[in-house]
Amino acid sequence: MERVLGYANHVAVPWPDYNFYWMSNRVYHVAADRPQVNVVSNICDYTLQEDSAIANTRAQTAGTSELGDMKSLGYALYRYTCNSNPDSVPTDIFLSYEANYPYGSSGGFTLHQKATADWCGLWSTYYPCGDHYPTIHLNLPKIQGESSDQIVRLLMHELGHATGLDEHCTSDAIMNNGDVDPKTGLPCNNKKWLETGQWYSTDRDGLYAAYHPLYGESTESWSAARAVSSGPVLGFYNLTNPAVDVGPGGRMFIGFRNDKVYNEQWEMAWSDDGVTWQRETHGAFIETLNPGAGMLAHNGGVSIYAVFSYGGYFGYPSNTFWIYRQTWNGGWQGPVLEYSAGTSTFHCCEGSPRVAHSRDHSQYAIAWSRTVSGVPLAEFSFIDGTTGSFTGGVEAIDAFVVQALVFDDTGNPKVIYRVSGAGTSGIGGRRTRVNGVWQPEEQFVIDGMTDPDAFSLVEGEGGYHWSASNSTHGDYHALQGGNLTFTYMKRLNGAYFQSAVDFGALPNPITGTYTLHGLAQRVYGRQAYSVGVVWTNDVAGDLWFIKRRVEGY
Amino acid sequence: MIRGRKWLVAVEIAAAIAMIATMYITSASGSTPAFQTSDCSSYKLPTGATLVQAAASQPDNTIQIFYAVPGGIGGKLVVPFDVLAATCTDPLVRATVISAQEADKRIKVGMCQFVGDVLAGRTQLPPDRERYFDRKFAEEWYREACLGTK
Repeated sequence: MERVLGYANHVAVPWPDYNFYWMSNRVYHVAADRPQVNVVSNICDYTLQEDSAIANTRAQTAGTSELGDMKSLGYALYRYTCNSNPDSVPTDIFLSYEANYPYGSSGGFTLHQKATADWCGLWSTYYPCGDHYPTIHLNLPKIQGESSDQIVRLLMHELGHATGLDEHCTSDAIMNNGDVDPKTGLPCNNKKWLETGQWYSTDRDGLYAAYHPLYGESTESWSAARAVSSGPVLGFYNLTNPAVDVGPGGRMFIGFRNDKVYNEQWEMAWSDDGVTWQRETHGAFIETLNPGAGMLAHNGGVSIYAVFSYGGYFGYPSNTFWIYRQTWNGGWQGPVLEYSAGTSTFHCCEGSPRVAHSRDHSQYAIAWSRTVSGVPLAEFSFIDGTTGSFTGGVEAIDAFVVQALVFDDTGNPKVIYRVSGAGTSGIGGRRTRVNGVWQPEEQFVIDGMTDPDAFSLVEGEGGYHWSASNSTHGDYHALQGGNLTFTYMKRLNGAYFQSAVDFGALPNPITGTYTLHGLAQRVYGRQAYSVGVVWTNDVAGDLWFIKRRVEGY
Repeated sequence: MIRGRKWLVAVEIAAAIAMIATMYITSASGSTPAFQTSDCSSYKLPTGATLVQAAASQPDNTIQIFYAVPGGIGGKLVVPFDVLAATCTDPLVRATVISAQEADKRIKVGMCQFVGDVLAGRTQLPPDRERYFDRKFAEEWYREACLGTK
């Protein structure tokens, strides 16, 4: 079946069939170490011109508004090497200067070559994933007679083709071509070739469009698989939302609380394909009395963080406050005390620990609230991604109850909490940690649920059954449960969309009566999906793994 | 002593990979591609058209050729990837088809060389690429695709 994707003008060959994985939304745009697009040449005679073309292109695309979520590095070209075999080095664009140029009288001709599924797999992503590398064939006899400026202009134009742009002759553009129409005697856009030797707004619009399918013209699909079913030794605890997370290697985890064992211990199931699931029979936290725990998938496996309170139950007065970690790395390790506080009398725990990782899994963190003399205190710690242990010391933030912890667009941790109101009405607050300092409170309106953080805020409150993804680049989504037809909200590039998703009508439908569902989470790279978990009660209780995939990312 | 032995084993593995990769490349580059089957003579660009760019996909069996025409807005000609290039009568179409098919062949052979070099340590990936390179996948793929073993 042919996919139909819609793109703006100026785009001849869009991502993901062609162009560069490193420029796509599968790679975290704002990461400082985002891979650049390596340019490799077969000869070293034109390195000065190549350097100029690359520097101009970078300077004229980075930091520009048209590039939206791609603007931090722009079209991040890098001259990697010359006089080289492109298959011996990590080539993204090959400049092939050719004495025998068979492509007519033009100065250059760009030929895209779609990468195979194997090539995509080697780079930890899925097919299609753009070009293996496009080759820019260059007419050596022709350019040998041209000025350096002409060659720079030609290279910039062909580099535009290499990222999927088409010719453009209706306004000033780097994609104006240099041909003269033999009928009119006029060049493209009636301009001299050198007059338009820079990236214009329309070129940048095209660059953005090449990597962003228009909403409604991309295809998206939901799928579901039964992950775990209750039985003689397993019953899902009726107060606790199941948890879901995906590790940096793509392993998927569902956490749930088993009501059939002493004190309802947390357990876990995992899968590498989202279809076949394995339940870990030895659960964590044999003695936990806290229904709220955070589950975090990290490099070393998965960790569950739960609060214990000496001599008391969750929410009751206690003299100690402990956060224990239990990590699974192929098998459960013993519980580890990560944090304790409580030299004075205070109430135990407000809510449960919230855990999060940045989109690229370079950062992990936990936040929680405890009450000290009746006043809530929000605290925070980073987590070591290999061991799951706390690292860097515990930071006190302020007096509020943490409802959500996410990493924002720029990779900064952000805590979300309620300032006033109840349910889907009122005022929310957020505090973001920038350069090691917690910034002042920002407030947002919850009513209307138009702020992505509003979904994260109500998620932990129960009764509303909203589950929210992380909001990255202004693009987020949320699910509202209700039987098996969910309300599905998403904001894409600043616009809001709402639709219904019937999980009972999928090819592999969810059956039973809806009970609760867990956090939907965006995952990129190898699994460019949104994932979640739905709990139904039928003859037996079932946990279903759900997945949404959008083509074009 | 142990370090020395490990180093020796690594060198032996690298040498074996290099030898087998060389054998594969020699064999592959000397073979006749089996995918060129259909006639190309009906695929022609309009008179006076110039090439703009092209996009080839062997899995989709397409070569999209984008062209410009004098006084017009240009267009796109889609040629099956598996055409027999020698039957192309339009010289620009023929040049594009030959280039696409040769590039496809070169890239597939080059993958074995590149992955073999990376696995053997002869090619160092830059830090921004290293973290994306799936070594486990690469080792399995290399064994199956380049060495012919599972």
